[in-house]
Amino acid sequence: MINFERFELENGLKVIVHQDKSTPIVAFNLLYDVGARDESPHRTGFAHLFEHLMFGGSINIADYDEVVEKAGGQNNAFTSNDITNYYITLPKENLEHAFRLESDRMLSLAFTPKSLEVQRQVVIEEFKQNYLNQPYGDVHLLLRPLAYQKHPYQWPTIGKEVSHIEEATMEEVKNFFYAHYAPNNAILVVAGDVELNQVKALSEKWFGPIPSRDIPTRNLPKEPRQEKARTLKVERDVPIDVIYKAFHMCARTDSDFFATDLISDILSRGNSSRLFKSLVKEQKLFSDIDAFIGGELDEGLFYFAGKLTPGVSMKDAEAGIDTEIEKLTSVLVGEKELRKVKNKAISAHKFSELNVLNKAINLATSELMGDAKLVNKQIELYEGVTAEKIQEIAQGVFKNTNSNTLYYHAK
Amino acid sequence: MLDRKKEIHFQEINMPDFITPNSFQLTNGLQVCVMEGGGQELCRLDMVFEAGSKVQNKALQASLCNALLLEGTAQKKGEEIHESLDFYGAYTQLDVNSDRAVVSLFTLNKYFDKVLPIFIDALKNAVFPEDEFQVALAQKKQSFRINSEKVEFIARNTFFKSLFESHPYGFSASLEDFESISRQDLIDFHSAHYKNAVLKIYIAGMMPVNAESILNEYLGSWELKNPKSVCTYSPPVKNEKIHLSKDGAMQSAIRIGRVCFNTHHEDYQPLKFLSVVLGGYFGSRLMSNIREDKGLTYGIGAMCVQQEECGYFSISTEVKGESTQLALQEIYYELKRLREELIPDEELALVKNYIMGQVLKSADGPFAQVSLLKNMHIQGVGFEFYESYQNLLSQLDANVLNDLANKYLKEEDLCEIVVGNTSV
Repeated sequence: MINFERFELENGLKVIVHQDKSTPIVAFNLLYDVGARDESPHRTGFAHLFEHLMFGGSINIADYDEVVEKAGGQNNAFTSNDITNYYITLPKENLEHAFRLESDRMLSLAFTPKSLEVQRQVVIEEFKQNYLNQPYGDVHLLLRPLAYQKHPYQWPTIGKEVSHIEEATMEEVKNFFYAHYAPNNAILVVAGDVELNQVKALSEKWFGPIPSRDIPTRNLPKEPRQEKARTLKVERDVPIDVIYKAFHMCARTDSDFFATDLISDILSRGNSSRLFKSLVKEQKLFSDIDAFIGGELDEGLFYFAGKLTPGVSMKDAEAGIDTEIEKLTSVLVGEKELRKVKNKAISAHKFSELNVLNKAINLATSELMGDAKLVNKQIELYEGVTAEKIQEIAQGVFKNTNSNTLYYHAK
Repeated sequence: MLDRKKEIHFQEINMPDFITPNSFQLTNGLQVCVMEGGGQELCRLDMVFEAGSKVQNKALQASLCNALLLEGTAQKKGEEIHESLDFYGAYTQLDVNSDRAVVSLFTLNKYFDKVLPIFIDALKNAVFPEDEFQVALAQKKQSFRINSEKVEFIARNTFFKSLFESHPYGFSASLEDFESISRQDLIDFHSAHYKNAVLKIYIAGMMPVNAESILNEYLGSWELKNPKSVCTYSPPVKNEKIHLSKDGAMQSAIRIGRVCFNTHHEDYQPLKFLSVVLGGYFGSRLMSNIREDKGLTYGIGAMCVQQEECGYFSISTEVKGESTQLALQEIYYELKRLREELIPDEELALVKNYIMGQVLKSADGPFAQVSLLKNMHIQGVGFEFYESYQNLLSQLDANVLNDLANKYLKEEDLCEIVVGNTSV
């Protein structure tokens, strides 16, 4: 159970305060409601490039990191297809530095040409390091556009191609900032040994004077229902064959989400899970296989990813996956197995609450999904899942016509 | 009117209040160290065995033995063990490095009495069934083949080989080793280093009801042996340059470094501090120069790593292939600056605060604290280390660090490994 208080500034900034007196550090988490899905198809990778630029100096503070480091803090950020999230953990005595730093970036960046030139290069190196110069690094560059034809989830956060990053201009950078970075498009969570009144006063002082901005209404194209199975076969200079299958599933905010999450656990959480037992240990079709969900806010994907045992054909490997899917859709999950995955999910949730930064991030994303209170409802929602519900969802999701398969062959 | 340009005063960061560890002994003399706190009804149990790869007789023995600890006893199949641990929502973690192995259990307290017996039984009575062994071996072999394609992996292995030569710290497996290892090798390793063990136990979180008697029941008869005394190893300092080209590599992996010493050496803490200045945080000199000024890399770091018999100092990065030479030149330039110029006071103060902040973060909750304590304990130091740590930091001035750079970071004392684009 995470206790919290919530208030909103006049400019629209939502603030959540969680008090935890047991820790010497405060987590300061600022979530902006902008991600790769908000990019133009001709300028992909922009939300992520922008995250880098946020560390290149703001209007009144030349060096962001230096202030954090002097204050004994640590900071980082991540960009997903849905959000961009910035966080600082620092000694509670130095909390106000976080307010000064983050409010100044929200007010305005410095927009120095040097920062754009350097971060453009850094992001291109990141692109190479993680996606191009890495065996199987390009899997999501191939799979996403196969599964999504309309919705902007068709590109990963790093972007479709390096050229989009190479060609970004300062003008575009500025436009992106003013369209998405604003108090009325952000959620602030402060968690640690803090008082509500203290956070209220600091929020008013530092964020209060920032005017709200015109945020364009998000109007993303809905992905049309997939009617036909899609496949893609590639050959690469890699040591072994792998197969990926992606099925469209519900949105993170949908009531079916928790049951779908449990399906992925039944299939592949831990060594007693079905895929591991049947396909790795018994049939030895794969050396390793996973089933997982992307967890996107809009309608997302349910993935299977398997590394084939040498000598096994793609056809046999795929048939192995199909058999496991068939079991899920035709036979109800037993009581004991369902209890097991619920217990496991609930205990994972409880362990995640031991860390103050985790709690802050969970509160922020729950608030974005409509209500910070969701963070305390998760256990109940997992408990509510029935075997019938699981079967019903499996039948809907794992239709062959809803499948996107990537056959990734070793040369 | 709010003056946003004006810096706020930086409060001095004080040492956090660490939880005072308690300890008790089981009937066989096994020490259990407890860090109680967190207020939630869950706990973590860590068992630290002297079963690292340095004591293995054969490649892969330590890592495969560790990976297969929970995969079957004479009475139970691996999947039954996992089935019951999973049923109670418990998590396990198996880790091994060159010095030791850590086996951890995370559980809700209400199931502690159910989970612990299953976990301990599996660990103690592991028989490494042939089919489980084959599955794990195939898995490791595939990962190995994939990793062998990565420039970073090749550079790292080449680096350790160059530094530590024939010592186990310099060893990395080859594809043939996967053919010569057998199930019997794991059984032998298990009986020599797990069943009959040099073992330490740590519990963090809330103590479950009756924990002491439950632990005594299941761990109180574990056979213990005396720890061997540590023999330190001092290989020669070398100046080897190894450049390996890899076709089609867009980036080059670079490793530059040397052998050092273990944690008890008087220069360990100061050199560790110097490595933070050079490349241990976002605003460090290497990051500022090679990433933030020139954009040649996504990341670059320097570290001073302790190992029981001999530690090392290392700089590592992956850089734009065409700019490999420029990156090397700039790394040596930054090392030269450390040798020839005094570190400005402001930078020293910043790094000290940064390090204190990190200590504070390690005190965030009992799990974080036990990780820290455990790491120090196995090297033979306790939390009392931190009583003098602030004092130690305050004595590190620019002159001391400059002497240190001249003592350890001379260009002719460093090995250089480049894997990727070596054409320029």
